Amino acid sequence: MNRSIDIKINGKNYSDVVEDRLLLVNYIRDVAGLTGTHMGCDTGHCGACTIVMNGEAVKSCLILAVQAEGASVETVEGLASETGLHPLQVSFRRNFAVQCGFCTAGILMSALALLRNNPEPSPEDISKALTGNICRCEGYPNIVKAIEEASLVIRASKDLGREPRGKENEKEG
Amino acid sequence: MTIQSSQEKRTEQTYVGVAYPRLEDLRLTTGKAKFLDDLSVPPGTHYAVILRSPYAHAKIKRIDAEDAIKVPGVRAVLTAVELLSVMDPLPLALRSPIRYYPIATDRARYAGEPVAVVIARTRAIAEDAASKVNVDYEPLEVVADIEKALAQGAPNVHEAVGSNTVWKKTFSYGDVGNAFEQAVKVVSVDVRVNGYTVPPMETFGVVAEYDRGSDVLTEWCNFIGPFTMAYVVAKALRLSQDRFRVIVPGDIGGSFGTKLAVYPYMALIGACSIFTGVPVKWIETRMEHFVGSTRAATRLSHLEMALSADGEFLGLKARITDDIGAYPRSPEPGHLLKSVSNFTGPYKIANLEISGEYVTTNTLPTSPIRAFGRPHLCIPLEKLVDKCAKITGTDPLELRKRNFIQPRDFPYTTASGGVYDSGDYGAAIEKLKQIFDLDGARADILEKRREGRLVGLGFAVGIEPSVSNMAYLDLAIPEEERQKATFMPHSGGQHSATLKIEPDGHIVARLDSCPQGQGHETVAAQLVASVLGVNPEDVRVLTGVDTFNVSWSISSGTYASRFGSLGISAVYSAALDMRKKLTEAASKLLGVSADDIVMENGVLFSKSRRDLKISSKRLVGTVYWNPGSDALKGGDHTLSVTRTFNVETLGPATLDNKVNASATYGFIGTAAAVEVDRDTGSVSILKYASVHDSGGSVNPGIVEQLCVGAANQAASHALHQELIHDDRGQPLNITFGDYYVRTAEDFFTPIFGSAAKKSPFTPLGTKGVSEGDNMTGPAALLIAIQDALYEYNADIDTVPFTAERIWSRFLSKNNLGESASSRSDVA
Amino acid sequence: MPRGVTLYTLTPPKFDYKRASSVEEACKLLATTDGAKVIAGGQSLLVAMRLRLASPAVLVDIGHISDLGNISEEGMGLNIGATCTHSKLARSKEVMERFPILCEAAARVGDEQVRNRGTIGGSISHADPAGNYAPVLTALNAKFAVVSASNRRTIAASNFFEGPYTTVLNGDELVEKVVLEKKLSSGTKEGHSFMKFSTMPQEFATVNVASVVAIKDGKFEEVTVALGALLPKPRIMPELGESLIGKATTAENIRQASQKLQLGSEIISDYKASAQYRTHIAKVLVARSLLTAVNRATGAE
Repeated sequence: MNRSIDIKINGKNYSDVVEDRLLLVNYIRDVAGLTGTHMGCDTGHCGACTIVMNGEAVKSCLILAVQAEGASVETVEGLASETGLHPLQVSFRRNFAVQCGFCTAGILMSALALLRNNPEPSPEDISKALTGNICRCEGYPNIVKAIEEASLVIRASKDLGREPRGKENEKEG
Repeated sequence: MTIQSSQEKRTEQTYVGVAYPRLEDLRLTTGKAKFLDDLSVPPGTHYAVILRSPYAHAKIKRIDAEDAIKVPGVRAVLTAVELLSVMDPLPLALRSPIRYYPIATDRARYAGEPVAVVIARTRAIAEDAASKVNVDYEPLEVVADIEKALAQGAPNVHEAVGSNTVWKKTFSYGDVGNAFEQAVKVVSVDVRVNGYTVPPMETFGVVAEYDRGSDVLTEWCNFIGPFTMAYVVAKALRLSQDRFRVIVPGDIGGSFGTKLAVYPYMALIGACSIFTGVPVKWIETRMEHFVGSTRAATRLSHLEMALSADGEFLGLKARITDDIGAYPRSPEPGHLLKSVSNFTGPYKIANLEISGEYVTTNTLPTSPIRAFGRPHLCIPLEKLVDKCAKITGTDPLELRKRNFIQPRDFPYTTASGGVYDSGDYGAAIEKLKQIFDLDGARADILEKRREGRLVGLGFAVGIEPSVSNMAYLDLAIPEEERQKATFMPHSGGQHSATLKIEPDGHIVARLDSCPQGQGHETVAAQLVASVLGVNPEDVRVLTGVDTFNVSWSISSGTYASRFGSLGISAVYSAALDMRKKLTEAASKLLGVSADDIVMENGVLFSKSRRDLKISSKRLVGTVYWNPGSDALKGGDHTLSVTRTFNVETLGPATLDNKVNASATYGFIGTAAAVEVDRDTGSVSILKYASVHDSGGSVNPGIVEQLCVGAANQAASHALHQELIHDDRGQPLNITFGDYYVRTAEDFFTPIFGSAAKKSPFTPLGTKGVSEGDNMTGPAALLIAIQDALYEYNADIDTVPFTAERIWSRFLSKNNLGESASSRSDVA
Repeated sequence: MPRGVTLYTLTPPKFDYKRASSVEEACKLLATTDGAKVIAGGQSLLVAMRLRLASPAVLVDIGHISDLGNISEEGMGLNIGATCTHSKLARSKEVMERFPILCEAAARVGDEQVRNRGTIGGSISHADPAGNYAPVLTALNAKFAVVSASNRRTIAASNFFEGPYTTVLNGDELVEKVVLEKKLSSGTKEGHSFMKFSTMPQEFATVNVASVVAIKDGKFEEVTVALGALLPKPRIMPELGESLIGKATTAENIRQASQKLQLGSEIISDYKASAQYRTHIAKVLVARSLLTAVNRATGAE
């Protein structure tokens, strides 16, 4: 069966008729054309497809698109704004927290949800929030460090009353 | 950005040795990178779903696809019957009557072997239809492990071979008999390394488009090379090389060697496109990856060391049996042969004998996994050396130092023909002691032991070869055959880089590498920027290979740590050539000698007369728009250079089976401290340190991140990772929930140190790096765990050494012990 | 002659999706539709469907029924709605005050993303033998309120689980809420501990243990230990109570009692762990969790 759905992705409204069995990850990738969200497994273990839905990190491969009707979704493509890269993106780069980069989008989204709910996470909080995101390059030490540093940057900018944005935006590929 | 855009004065090597943030990350952190599954596909692309054998060994009696083909949207259901009309077997490196196709013909030889391919308009339709295909099998007796394969009367995986042994050979160097006669002591160890894999995040994928108009098959795939396999695929598909185009995207989601094994699927999906005439896309699922992609060999090894009275290693004997799965596919028997020329590692051992036997079983075929065959070698060799130290009552690091190749010996030729470039292994060990704080670590161990805790220390060392000299595979060919005039020896392992300056001054570097997370773009940009005096952002680096547009060779690709030695050298040499071309053109335009020209901040000056100058932008413009000018007339000033870098020592194999398999040889020393949970057998890593000799690094940030991953992967392998199957050959742990994969809750931060000795064979002295911890890590952990279990006199002989193995072999011999102790939960 | 293929899929087979706006509507759909199955968080069901191990003709989504995921107080006890997510449960102050062991178990279900979607009702209905809730809810003597279009009943946790992936639920029934009652205690100190042994922290347990103790004057007054994951269904170990009640809460007493555990012949044995190893780990975990529960009760932790 097909149903019509309305989903907000990165602030933009999408309206489509989809098959009931279409997974949200396939909607995001194949219908909305946002291929930054990846698929790394078939059993919901890897977390490469992690998005933020209604404020929480979830795996878009374990949600039907029709279940997301009316939801507000954030993907990696929405992380940077017109004013620049998100501190997480800057920090991942500065800390050599990206190797092959396939897991990166999912990890960034898990980290985004974490920092919103817990602006001062300990390294243990970060590790725990990332258990559902596998990095097969096993670059975890750098990833955890990058998230910790980003949380410091965000807090510091908030103290200064500034929007925490990276200045490397003009070089953004 | 153009060649003239630099704001500040740049002199050569400004960026070399700098942890420059990676350029790749700008697209990888913003979701803009394009991995294989993200690429646009040709119009009319159909999707392939592969049906696989549920039996590890069975005759295929009948395939009934009648219901499947009726499903609307299905284009074809293809089996060997159809596909063999457009395909020959994939050539093997081993001489053998075995015919290896990427799809089962009359018999399936491992559970997961492709049996049929359903091709439909969408993936969902292909899956719906595939559920309707029925296959009749006649199950046959299964040979699932080495012991059974070698047993008397065992059924044969390949009847045409008449045995499960597909290759057997003894290599002998020096006078091993004499060495063992002279020995005061002979020490031996046995180790079994179970089959394992290091699965990448991104699975395999191929998009194949056969174009009838040009008669060209184009394949987009996340294949990492070596491109000798592209040649193999072309042969299998009956295509001349000019009709087979392989395009590898610049972003690959990890490989750790596995993506060499994309090649059988390049043949399979290519054949599907040729047969159906439509473009065909296949993306592997994760479970398919576990059952159908590749794995490292299962190895049984028995090593013996002949020791002199003062602990000198007089001779080494090894008996190796490798289970390489259902087909001895290329590049097997590489698990053993790749290491023959450096089998003795960093030790000076003049007498060496290696007996190798290759066995087929009804399991997934093998291919290189990060540090091809070297964990298999390093673990028993270092366990042996550690045992030698114990038996002779020598400090394990001192015994190693005593037997090391010494700095004065370089370049050093091993007994089996390896040519080591440089090193100071003793100095590296001193550095290791320092960064590990060996004295402190030893005191800590004693302290913890007094508390009754099971803690121990372990060390392992190794050489870290860079590059695969294809010559090593010739060792698989009988000497008689290699003597024939018709025999074509193999050798070399080269890397190419093309550097262009576009008419508007933009710089483009094109590599023949297929990086999977190694930051080649950044490293190449740093090199070019340093030589041409621009910023790394000013250099557009294109990685990934397009065989129609890149200067490639059969060894192109990214594997065997080849970029650190050859890749960097090719890019650097091309940049120097480009600078020379610019200087020459400037010398003509300025009317001064080329020696007199310097390049600074985008301007070329005469050293003797500073007022004689030309901006590089004008220079480039003149070369493009006015090459007929009096000054430039007659010369070749095109601003495009291609440099192919090779190392002279990479010659063919000799008839006495000596070969130099690699271009440079780094060194790694690893120290680990572990604790074993007395109740559960679980192992915690208390401390882990490695010293690397990479010859120096262009980007230490990248080198370190790669090594951080390698060290954690090493622990994953050593403590957990193995592909488990039952005695019917059914793979059991085929998801990320069943096969161990580390998470952020369970990593450790290694300590690293550098002990670089520049290679005389590369222009910047760099060597390959980042596979070392995958070799020494498991070895050091094994030795540390044996040390922690000293009260049990533990001999760990199986890798991985899981908690249950440690408990059942050693700890269970005791009582529950300190069960209700202070540690509240179980890691 | 054997037939068959091995197919690795990514897409669920076709089905009809129905979004229920009330429990009544969901029950009606279940009663009137062939092959209907309830979906809430879908964290287990969608995996099974993607692998084509499950192929319901109709999915009845109860994930949008308002208030079905609420946690409400009832006397000293609590009602936990079926679609309460593991995350919500783990963070709930009310639950933490009354049944902290449930928060501990919820916090160790899968990973953060799974906890954000997965629900307690879904988890117990799926009845993975290695799930976290079964031993905890059994140890807490929880009851499940179950509804269908024609009936309403309450099932004790100890009677709910029948074996791996099987419960006493009928096809037209759904779990509406989990009911927990708190006993009043006087002069006793209570302690609890949930422990899970798994090679990977995010994975289902090889062995898990829920321990609840009550201590008076340094002696065990009540001991409830339920084991999960190593048996086809959760099991309370009454012999632990028998050997510990009235004894001092010492590590040695706990150790001795744990060592004497008899787990029988039903222990699951597979490639993840042999029955022998699981049995051993169960004893270790029981001892560790009891000690932790004691330490928590006495404020030592």
